Amino acid sequence: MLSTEEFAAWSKKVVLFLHNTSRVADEPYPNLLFEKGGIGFPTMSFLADDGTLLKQVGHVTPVAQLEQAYQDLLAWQKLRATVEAGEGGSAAELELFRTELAMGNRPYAEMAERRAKLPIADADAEKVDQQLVNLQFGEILRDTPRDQQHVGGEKFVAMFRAGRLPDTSTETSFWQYIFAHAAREKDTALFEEVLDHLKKAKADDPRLARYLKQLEAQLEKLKGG
Amino acid sequence: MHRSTSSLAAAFAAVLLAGAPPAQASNQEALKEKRAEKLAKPVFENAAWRLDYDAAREEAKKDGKFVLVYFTRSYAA
Repeated sequence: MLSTEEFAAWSKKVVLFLHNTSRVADEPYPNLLFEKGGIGFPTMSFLADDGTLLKQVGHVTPVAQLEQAYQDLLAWQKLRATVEAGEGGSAAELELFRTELAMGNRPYAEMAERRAKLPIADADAEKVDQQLVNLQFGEILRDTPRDQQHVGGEKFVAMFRAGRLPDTSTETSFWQYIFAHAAREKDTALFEEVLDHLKKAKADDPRLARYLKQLEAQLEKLKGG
Repeated sequence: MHRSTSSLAAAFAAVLLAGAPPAQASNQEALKEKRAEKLAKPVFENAAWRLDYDAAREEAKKDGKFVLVYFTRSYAA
């Protein structure tokens, strides 16, 4: 798709940036994929000119889907400008909030504050609150250095205790980081509690059996000191 | 949100991948060669790909455009 004339023509609407993770020592921005919420290759994402992640569009995406995402971003820009100009009233504010919550491009603290002030209908509250959980999770994940998973894990434990569990495609990092924290602290009770939760929650995922076995083995090793 | 078990399993694998240690210095020359090979691939010849992140953002700001980033890798190619 990237080599087609169709893509080359469409791409004039944006600035194309090719980021290659090479693991060469002098590479600038070596962890940019991770910092922008990606977990695998390849990934295509729209960014603002300040580097803010606006929309992740998946792997190699057809031009028609890129165009749809592009039009969505233009509509969001227009809506934001309307609200910032003090126009559109509370309906526009609510629409902007829902749009930006779905995009995940604003800080969690700001969105939680906006949610508290906006008239969210009861029927929408559960979905909105889950989106806020996902936003908080994603923010902690992006702010956690790759080699310090236990740091993010400690924050995820607090979310786990509060029943705030993400359901995004990167959800697995939530558990991985908690196990990293529990292992580092040699907190076998926490490790076991979270593992039991995960085994029950993912009981219908047979392909995870091997991973869960690895965690069980890690737990036994931790218990053995 | 429902996801297939394969995508969930793949996500677990990706997490493990993301946590992989950086390459040793002795591999640096090989990694540079792989990087050069990746960036020279014909698939990137047809459109105007920028390789400098800072310059790409500056251009986007100047022209009032979004940045579309394509994340790829060469170390495992």
